[in-house]
Amino acid sequence: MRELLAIFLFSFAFLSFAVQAKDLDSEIVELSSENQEILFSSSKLIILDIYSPKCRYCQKLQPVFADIHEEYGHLCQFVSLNVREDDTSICSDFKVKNIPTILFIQDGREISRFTGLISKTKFIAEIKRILNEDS
Amino acid sequence: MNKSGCMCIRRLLIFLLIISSSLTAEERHEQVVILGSGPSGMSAAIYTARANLSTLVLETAPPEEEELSYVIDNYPGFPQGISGFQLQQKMREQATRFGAKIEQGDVKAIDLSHRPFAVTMEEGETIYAETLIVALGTIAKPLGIESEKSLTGYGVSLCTVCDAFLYTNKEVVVVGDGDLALQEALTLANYASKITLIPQGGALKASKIIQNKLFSNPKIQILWNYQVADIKDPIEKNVTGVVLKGMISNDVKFYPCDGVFVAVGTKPNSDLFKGQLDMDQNGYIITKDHTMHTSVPGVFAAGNIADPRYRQAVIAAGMGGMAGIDAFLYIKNLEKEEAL
Repeated sequence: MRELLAIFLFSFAFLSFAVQAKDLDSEIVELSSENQEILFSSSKLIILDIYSPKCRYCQKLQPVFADIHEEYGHLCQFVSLNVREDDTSICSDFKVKNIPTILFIQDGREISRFTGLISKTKFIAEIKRILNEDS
Repeated sequence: MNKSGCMCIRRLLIFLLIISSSLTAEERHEQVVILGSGPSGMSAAIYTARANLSTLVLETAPPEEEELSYVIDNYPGFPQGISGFQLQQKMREQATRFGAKIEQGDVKAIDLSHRPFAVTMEEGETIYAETLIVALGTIAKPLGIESEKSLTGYGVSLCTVCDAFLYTNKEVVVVGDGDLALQEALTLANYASKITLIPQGGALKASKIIQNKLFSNPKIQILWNYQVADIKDPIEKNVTGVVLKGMISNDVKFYPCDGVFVAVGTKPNSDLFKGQLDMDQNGYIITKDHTMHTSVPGVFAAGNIADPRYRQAVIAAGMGGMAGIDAFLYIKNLEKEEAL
């Protein structure tokens, strides 16, 4: 009985630690003029979601973005940009003319993009393609 | 830990493994699966869920997002008009009150060769349906120019309501001559500095009330008797303008702009059913004998996907109700046959 309790406590502690570690990894950074350097300085693949709260396609894409971030938050840096509150020049710098747009950025350079609604499967396939090319 | 303790944990793990694998392998089975969550799909769901049939509405990528964004003035019961979004929201509330489930996802394939019908989702899951109600509406027709596809996302817009803000103080072109094109031009006039409407002919098909609003807006101009022959510049991956061809004069000219909004009409969203359901030459699903039955027993169609003539929210909702009743009667009939 004591062993079972020990296993339970150990598992609980391990899971708590894992969840905490995942949380630390998995923050989605909301982009502003204060932190836009992240796009150019991060060594990870940047996945930038450019959206507007008024756009229904954007709203529908958000749970997909959140799910993928759960899975790939430790490998990629997830960033989002609200165009309505954008005080950066990111949209004009990257010539973003339609939303939602997902930009894949590496070393400050756009390497790929999706516009409009995309399925989780296609989204993941693109991340895998880019990460495999890198490795 | 002693040997018997280890064995106990091992057995427990095996038991949990078996339980979890049997749970994950469980097939989903619904009495009614409805494809589409517009007025026809939601109306069908209200009828089938209220009749105690297990009902799943699959909300695919919204095909008529643009139309949903505008105010519907002629839906009975809303004297001040109601936005498409609000109407849809009310219908969702009503359907879920009776137990309908609404889920998002893209359908990859449908097999109508035998019942229950297999609906395979993009993510891999297969849902089995006793009856299927197809209410996928219509999708925007493209101009059919090669550069249009490669510039989508680079200045060729899919959604005016989403993108209009990005064209603040910029010059844009709207292509089309119907209500939707004029609505788009009027929405853009809140942001862009200049809007050029290209009807691709010499007249507008839009209703007079919208035409009057358009003519009185100083930011909007109309370029008659020109067709968009090309969009530039796919090499730069950025819209820089359109190439126009005169329909009377036959001259060709470059017309600079920052964005292109295409609203040249819609087509039925029925490609998934080609070769499986009877359709007319334009892809509208054919329904039989004043009912919503299609050429496959147990499959029903409702709304704009089966309506080349009226294409109105109120008609779609009515057709959805008919499809819901037809699905209910079909299932009851099957149950009677099985009982015999």
